[in-house]
Amino acid sequence: MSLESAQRYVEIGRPHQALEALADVEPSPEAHCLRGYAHYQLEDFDRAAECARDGLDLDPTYIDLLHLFSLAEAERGQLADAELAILAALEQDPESVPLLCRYADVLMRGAQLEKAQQLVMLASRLDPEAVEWREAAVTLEYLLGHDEYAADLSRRLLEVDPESALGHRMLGVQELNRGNIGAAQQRFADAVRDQPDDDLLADQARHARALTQNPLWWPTLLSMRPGGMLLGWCGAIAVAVGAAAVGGGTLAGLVVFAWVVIWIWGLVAPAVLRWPGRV
Amino acid sequence: MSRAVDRDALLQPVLADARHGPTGYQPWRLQSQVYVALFGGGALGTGLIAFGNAVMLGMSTRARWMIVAVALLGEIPLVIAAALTKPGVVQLANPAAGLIVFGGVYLLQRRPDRVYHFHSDEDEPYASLFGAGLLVCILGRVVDVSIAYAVM
Repeated sequence: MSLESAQRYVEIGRPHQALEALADVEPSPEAHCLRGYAHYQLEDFDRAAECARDGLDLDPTYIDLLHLFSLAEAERGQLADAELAILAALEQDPESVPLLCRYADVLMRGAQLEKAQQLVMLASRLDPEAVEWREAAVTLEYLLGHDEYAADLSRRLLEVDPESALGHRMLGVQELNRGNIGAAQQRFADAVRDQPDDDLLADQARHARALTQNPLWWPTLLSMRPGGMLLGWCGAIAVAVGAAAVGGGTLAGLVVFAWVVIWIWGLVAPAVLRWPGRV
Repeated sequence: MSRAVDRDALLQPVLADARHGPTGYQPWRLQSQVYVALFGGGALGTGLIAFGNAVMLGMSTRARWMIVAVALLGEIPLVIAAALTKPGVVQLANPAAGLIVFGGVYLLQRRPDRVYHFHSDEDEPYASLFGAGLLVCILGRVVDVSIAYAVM
């Protein structure tokens, strides 16, 4: 086994095989880096940070190790350390778009959205075709609460990279928030296809399916559709008028009461049940 | 996209200086806070819950003070209404003031809540507001009624 085969395993997302391939390899910055990425893929962020630190002891300027250390520390919630690591990498390559976007991601985690925005702008000027800044911009605009713009950027991202899981996921969330559950399901299914190892995404696709299958969500889905509630009220009144003609005022009152209960339930359901609109 | 960017300033660390960060405690759902506003918490109770949430979300000191200011501003109409009319007006003024304050504090918490929610990998990233919310509803109602009778 060799560094090359470990590298290939990491690239295709086979971390266990990568670790096996690295078992007998001599310690080096490259070996520590690959081992760290394998642990990172296994979501063992403590071990990933440890490997990065061991590698940086051998070569403190190794950019991939600084990048890995930043990734792992950010996942561990150590944002200040993650920031210092990525800044050390940027000191050597200040015009690297992936590194600038990585720094923007760390800042987004630390709620420094304005500075993250400036970094994304800088990255977009350095390489207008790069996918990295487009993905960072989608996330950023979503966090800023600019949902329409985030969706617009997601569409443009998918034009450049039709297999971007983030692009499909963001459009799925937007469709979900509009009550277009069928379209949301399709988006999440596309995202799962492009990123089958993402547990969060799989959860989201499952919950989107659950939304249509659980009748308790139907009033909320109706309320989220444009004009859905107006349609509901008009329908309820029409049924109540019909009921009044057939069974008198009591039946009409019951129809209106039932509709008001459904309407209120539609409003409070997201707070009572678990709303699956997370991204 | 055309703003000039000072690259040197951009590559200076900012997160080490941040005075506040996530506390590790799970925050409350923003939408759930409306129940505190409606069921007795009023302006002060809603502000108190939002302040607690701001601490858990790691919001800045400035944002926390803004929540306090919104809550206090929301309480003023209740005090005036109680002084000009009768203490019973608090039955209506309490939820009305609570809802107004909820609107303000919701907007203040919205962005940090998104940042938290987006990066959370918990299966259920929020804590239940039931216990704290119920306590604040009772306290908020008691405080508002006491204020109303004090200014009559």
